[in-house]
Amino acid sequence: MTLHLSEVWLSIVYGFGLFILIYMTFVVLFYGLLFFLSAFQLKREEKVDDLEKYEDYMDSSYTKPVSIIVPAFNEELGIKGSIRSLLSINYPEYEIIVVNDGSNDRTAESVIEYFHMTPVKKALQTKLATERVKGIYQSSTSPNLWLVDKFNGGKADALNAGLNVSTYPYFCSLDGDSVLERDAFLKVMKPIIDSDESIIASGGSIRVANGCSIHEGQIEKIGLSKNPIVIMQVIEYLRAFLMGRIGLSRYNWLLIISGAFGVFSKKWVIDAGGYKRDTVGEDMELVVRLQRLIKDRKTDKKIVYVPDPVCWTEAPESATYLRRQRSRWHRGLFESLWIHKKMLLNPKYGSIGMISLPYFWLIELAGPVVELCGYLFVLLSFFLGGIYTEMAILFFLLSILYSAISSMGAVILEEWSLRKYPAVKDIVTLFIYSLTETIWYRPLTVLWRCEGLIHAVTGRKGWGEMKRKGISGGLEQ
Amino acid sequence: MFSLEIMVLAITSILLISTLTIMFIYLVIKKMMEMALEKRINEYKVRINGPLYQYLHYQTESHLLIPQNSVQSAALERSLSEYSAVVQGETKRRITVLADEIFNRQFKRDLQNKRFSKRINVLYKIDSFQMHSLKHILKQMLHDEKVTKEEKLIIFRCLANSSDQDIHTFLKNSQLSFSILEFRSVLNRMDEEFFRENTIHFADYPLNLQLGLIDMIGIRKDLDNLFFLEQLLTSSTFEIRIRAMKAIGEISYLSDTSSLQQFARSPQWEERMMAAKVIGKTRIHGGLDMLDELIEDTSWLVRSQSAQSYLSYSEGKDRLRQVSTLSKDPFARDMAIEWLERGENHDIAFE
Repeated sequence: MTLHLSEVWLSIVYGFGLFILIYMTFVVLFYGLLFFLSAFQLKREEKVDDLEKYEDYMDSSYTKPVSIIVPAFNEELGIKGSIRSLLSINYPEYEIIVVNDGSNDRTAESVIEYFHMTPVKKALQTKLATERVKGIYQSSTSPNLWLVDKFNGGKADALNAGLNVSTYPYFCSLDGDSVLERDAFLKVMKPIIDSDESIIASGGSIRVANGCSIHEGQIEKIGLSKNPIVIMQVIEYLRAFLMGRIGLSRYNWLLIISGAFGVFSKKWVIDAGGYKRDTVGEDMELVVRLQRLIKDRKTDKKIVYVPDPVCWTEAPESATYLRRQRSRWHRGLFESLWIHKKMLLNPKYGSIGMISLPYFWLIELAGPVVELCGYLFVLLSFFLGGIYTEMAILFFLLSILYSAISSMGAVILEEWSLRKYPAVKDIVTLFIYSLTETIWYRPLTVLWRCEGLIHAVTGRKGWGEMKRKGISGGLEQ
Repeated sequence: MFSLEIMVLAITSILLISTLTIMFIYLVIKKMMEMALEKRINEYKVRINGPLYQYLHYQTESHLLIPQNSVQSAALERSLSEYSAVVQGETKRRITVLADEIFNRQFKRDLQNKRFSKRINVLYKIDSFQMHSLKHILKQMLHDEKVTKEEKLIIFRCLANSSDQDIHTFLKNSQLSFSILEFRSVLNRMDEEFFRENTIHFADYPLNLQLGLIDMIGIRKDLDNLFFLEQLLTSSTFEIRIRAMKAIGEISYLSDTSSLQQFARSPQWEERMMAAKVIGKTRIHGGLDMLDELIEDTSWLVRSQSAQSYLSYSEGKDRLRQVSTLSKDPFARDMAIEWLERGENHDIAFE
């Protein structure tokens, strides 16, 4: 009897191991496919002369005006630099709306003083419900700069308040502590302008700013941080943007435009109901909702990703903050998918329902859980020996294959296409680090993402604090 | 049991990692070589800076301006590109002459290149130098089905640069679905006289080109085409009417105000908003009375535009102040107050 039970148990472990291996093989193949899709697309765009391509778009009669909404919560350190950098971007017509979301520090006061702002009465085109607005200010030195001071209601609420105040047909959401390249707006708007409005949202790339030298809100020299955790994040960002999004965007399967840098058609976002409060993944949730609206209205509108325009943002430098961020991201992913669970495998939503969403559920959301099980299996195999050790070795090899394709591949794609890093040394460092991912970084992020999933299921709320250094550089002269 | 799988996977991993590493090493070596090349190009650019300036401004010729190798050619090409973005008139014409002379053969070869990026970059150069000498080949490319839409757009721009009469025929028969803005980028390159010829062909053009043409008349503030625009105000196509009205706003003149009345009473808010805008731009007689109605419109955008238009009349501010206190519509009062405040704070300049 005892023998029989242990046999059953062992065959369960065997089946479990087999499942993990099949799953991993599938993931490796999928990433392989994405790599080729992206490589193909990037090859085509290779080395097209930038300056010439955008020259025509600097004429203000060509472009569409954009409202840039910057939600700020306790961003006293970085906000002035960010605004300065925004005031100097290369775009014919835009307004900047900083939304102070009930900060506890002097975010609002410092902006009001520094940019000589005065309170104004603005007839609001109120469309979205938000927490109460305390006041609206306009800068007397730069009349296209506004500040909305409101009670705290979270990032989504702040963005909605900004939307209500905005006057232009397109808006861009931008994180308070990030730095845009000067031509980033022209580049991210180009697909929208070219398409005669058939593209309703367009997102650019996000890169890690740590290690770059930034002065007065302008990137002066692109460099690489020496902190291993930051270097691994650089690789992760390359992978997420150069592989994942290019592949998904090509067939209009995109479900994420990063909250840090994306342009949306205001009309569509308002029709969709604005940003959803009480979710930590408001950026992804909105894009899923827009895709849903596109399909519900049976239009052929599109959401695209453009690799070239880059927004540089500060990445967490310590494991503590990185853990909070990853856990939060995964919770956000779960919430966005859960809210729209009815779209999953629903033929009405076309390729979004049949391909995109299954991909996000199976690979992005469930991936860490399966991988964690894989690690547990490896531990277990030490005790069981025999065939289980062999399965553990297979699992390890598959992990190596995965990280080779995804991380080394991403570094290669970067060097092949955008080439943002001027120093050979930096690129070599990135490549060597990408080899080590499986051994230390991957298991850590897997753990954190599983933690996020647990938080999501148990209903934990809130953002967790992010410690900022203020990357935008000193303003003192 | 799994030893075979382990073998296969191990070999695959080693192979894949080696392939990726080789690719990487190749890219790094290429990067280093390109950086070295870049340095040489930049050095030569500095060397020809003086002679190029002399040629462009005083037509002093120099042997340095005849490239002997690819580095010199690339340096000259870039310097010319930089110049052509900032100069006008006679200097620009000299750039064209120089480019036609020096790059003709090289560009002809590059246009046949298999790589898309190579071809498109050459087309950008031909456009920015406004070269004429390659016209014949470009027209042949328009007939070629393998040439992409992106390339054809730039070819249209190049033909527009050189006022080539055949462009009208190509535009009429083009099966390609260019956007309005893309068509505008073609029209934008035509000189005044050549641009006017377009109105003759208007009826035969595809809709997006028609719309782009209307926009362009507005952008150029082409008073000679005002009558043409006014005729279009009665078009049955909504997009044509609204864009024609917008273009009239840009010209800031209207010979017949009755159409404005019609727009102000249109069931579509876009037309009412455009009416409010054009009243402000043209400051027509009796416009303020029309604005009094429009500022009480149901649409926020119409109200906002109307309030803004008041301020372009000399007595507009007083009239808007009346609205802010006397109007029965609370939304109209709010809007009036906002624009009165804005006008006082910043003396907003009107386009």
